Amino acid sequence: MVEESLKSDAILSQISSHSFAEKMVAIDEERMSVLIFQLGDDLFAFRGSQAREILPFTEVTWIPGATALLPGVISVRGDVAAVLDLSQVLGIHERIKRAASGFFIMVRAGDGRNGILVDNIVDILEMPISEERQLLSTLDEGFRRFALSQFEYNHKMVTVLNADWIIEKVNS
Amino acid sequence: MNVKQQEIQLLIFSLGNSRYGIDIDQVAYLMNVDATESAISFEQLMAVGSLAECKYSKILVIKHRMGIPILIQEPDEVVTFSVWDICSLPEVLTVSAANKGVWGLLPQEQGIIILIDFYKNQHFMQIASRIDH
Repeated sequence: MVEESLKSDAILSQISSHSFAEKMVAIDEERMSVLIFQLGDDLFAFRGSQAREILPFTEVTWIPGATALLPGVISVRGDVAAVLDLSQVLGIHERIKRAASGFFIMVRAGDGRNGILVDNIVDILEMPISEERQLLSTLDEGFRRFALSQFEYNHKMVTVLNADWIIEKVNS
Repeated sequence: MNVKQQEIQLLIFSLGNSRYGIDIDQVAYLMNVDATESAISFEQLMAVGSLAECKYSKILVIKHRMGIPILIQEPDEVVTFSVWDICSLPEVLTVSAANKGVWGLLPQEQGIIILIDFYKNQHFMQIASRIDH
């Protein structure tokens, strides 16, 4: 009975062809675009090629097996996406007063069904690649492992994060 | 299962702020809580943490594993859903949630229903295996 194929497995196999990834629309651009966002007092960015969509905050549903890094799931137009708490990933959760607010940045990394919870969306801009700088030696060690580069924006340093590395971290 | 499933009938019940759905085909029977019967709480199986205000009124008995009665709250309803409305787990949650028996999620206007397959719940199957031996 239990060892034979389960009904739940059969249904999952049946619905797998309707993957969320198929619904993605490419918005890659030749020039480097970045999505700048705020988390606590810090500014971060994802390259435009990694960010798919921005969603306003909505209730996060806890599910069994959820962790501090992955506090639950949200409903996205008939599908569900995992929520990643970036403040936990970067180790700055103690500095941040988490309120039921903010935005989810839907990223292409992994299976494309991940929403990264951030405090605020600051800007979306195109910039010359030459403005990107190597990581400053003073960069927080917790940020460095997920950082690709940095650039200056309104006299503040913005750290460009790699969404793939973040997903790898929560998968490990 | 050779024939493609189009619909699934779920027993829906709540625990804390979450709603859970169990395939009715997995349910042997449901009975009122009996003080003399030992049973494991659904809260323990899901490792939800202690829900102080949780009042269990029913015992759920799962087919083929009838030696492990499960305490649940009064079920909300039994509803038929199209299987095409079921979403698989996002990849990053597959390992941690699947161990608890979460096999799918059903987004609804009132929130997401968490689908549980007890035969995939590690804790439940460990108890079952101890009973079998």
